[in-house]
Amino acid sequence: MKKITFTIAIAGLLLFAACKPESIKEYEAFSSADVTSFQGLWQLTRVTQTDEDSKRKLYPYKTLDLTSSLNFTDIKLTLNLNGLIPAAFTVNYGAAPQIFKILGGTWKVDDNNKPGKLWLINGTDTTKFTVGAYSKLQNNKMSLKQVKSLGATQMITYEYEFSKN
Amino acid sequence: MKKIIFSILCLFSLVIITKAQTSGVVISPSSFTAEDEVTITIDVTGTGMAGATDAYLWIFSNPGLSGGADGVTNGNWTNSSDTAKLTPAGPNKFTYKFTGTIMFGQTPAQLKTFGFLLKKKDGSAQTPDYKPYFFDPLIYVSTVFRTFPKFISKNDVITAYLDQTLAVDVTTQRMEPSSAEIAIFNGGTQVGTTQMVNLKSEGNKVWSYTFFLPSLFSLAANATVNKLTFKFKGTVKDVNGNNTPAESPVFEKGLDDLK
Repeated sequence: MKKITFTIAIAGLLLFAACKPESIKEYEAFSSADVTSFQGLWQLTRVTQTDEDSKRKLYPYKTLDLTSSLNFTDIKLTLNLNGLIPAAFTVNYGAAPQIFKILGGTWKVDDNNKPGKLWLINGTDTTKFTVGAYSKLQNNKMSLKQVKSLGATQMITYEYEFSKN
Repeated sequence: MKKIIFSILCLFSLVIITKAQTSGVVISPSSFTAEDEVTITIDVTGTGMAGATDAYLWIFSNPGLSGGADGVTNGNWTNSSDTAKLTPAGPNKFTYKFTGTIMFGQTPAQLKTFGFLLKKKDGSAQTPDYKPYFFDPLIYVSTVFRTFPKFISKNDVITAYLDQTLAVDVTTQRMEPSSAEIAIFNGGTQVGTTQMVNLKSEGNKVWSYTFFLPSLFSLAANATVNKLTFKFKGTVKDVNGNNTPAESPVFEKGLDDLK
């Protein structure tokens, strides 16, 4: 009986000693996306227009959702890579107006490892965007913001949301 | 009543501004409050200052109204202040930046309009007066015609609104609007042909039309457009209850060079 009790006690001790807290991984926000996340065929799903002057002056009529206007959801943007470098892009506007002014050319970002700005370039014409939250890219969505200014004063912001096809 | 008077003033100011622009003055932005920085560009060709290499600003607030003040940069008529000197912007062209409240040392509530002229430092030559240019109020005031956004360029999506409840003429109030004529201008010269478009009802007697100017007018990329006009069209009932054509006054909207 003593042997059995001793054996059980030893086994219990061994089991207790063998238990280790499971290491829990730190929460990692989706805070980075390299240029490969932008490659592909993107369809415009939402576009809004914000009057920055109204926002500054606390006027009514600050933002207008243009998604259902002018066939904007027809717009398809294709961003190609050459290896790991941004290369050609094309825009198929369908029945939508040519809001980005250009149909194709080359695209660039400010940092291939953590893009913050994205440019569509055709000769001397450049359309500049600020990249939205990287978390959207995880869900195959892309947000681009375009600001129009008068001198140094921001007047209009367009926000485009794309879905990867 | 105040709204009606303000709307009339706005319409009047738009007409005045347009006339001033065609006489060699461009003001940017196209509308501004007393707290906004304004850039004036003046072409002095055909004035007493034509051919001058230096030009000085002589500016004053509320011309023709009570509570006017001289610009703090003016100096004396025979000896303009150096801070009033304009920057050359090409042959016979000069530019100057200022903010109303700072320039006149007055509050936004005191500032209704301003006027100015260009002169030589010693006052021996000058342009005519350019006036009046209207300051927008700091608070939002609804108007019968507006665009969203307020500041637009030829490459922006523009939504124009007609609010019949704020109309100052009976025809626009009574009309059942259905369409609008849109025309675009470079100064006083019309660009392209007038376009007729169908309006969308926003409810509560508000009507709208959304468009992208280069698509509607097939504009060349380098075309200059600095003004558009809207005339709303529809029908009203005559004494026999029959529909007869009717149209609103022409509403003007300045365009800015947004980049």
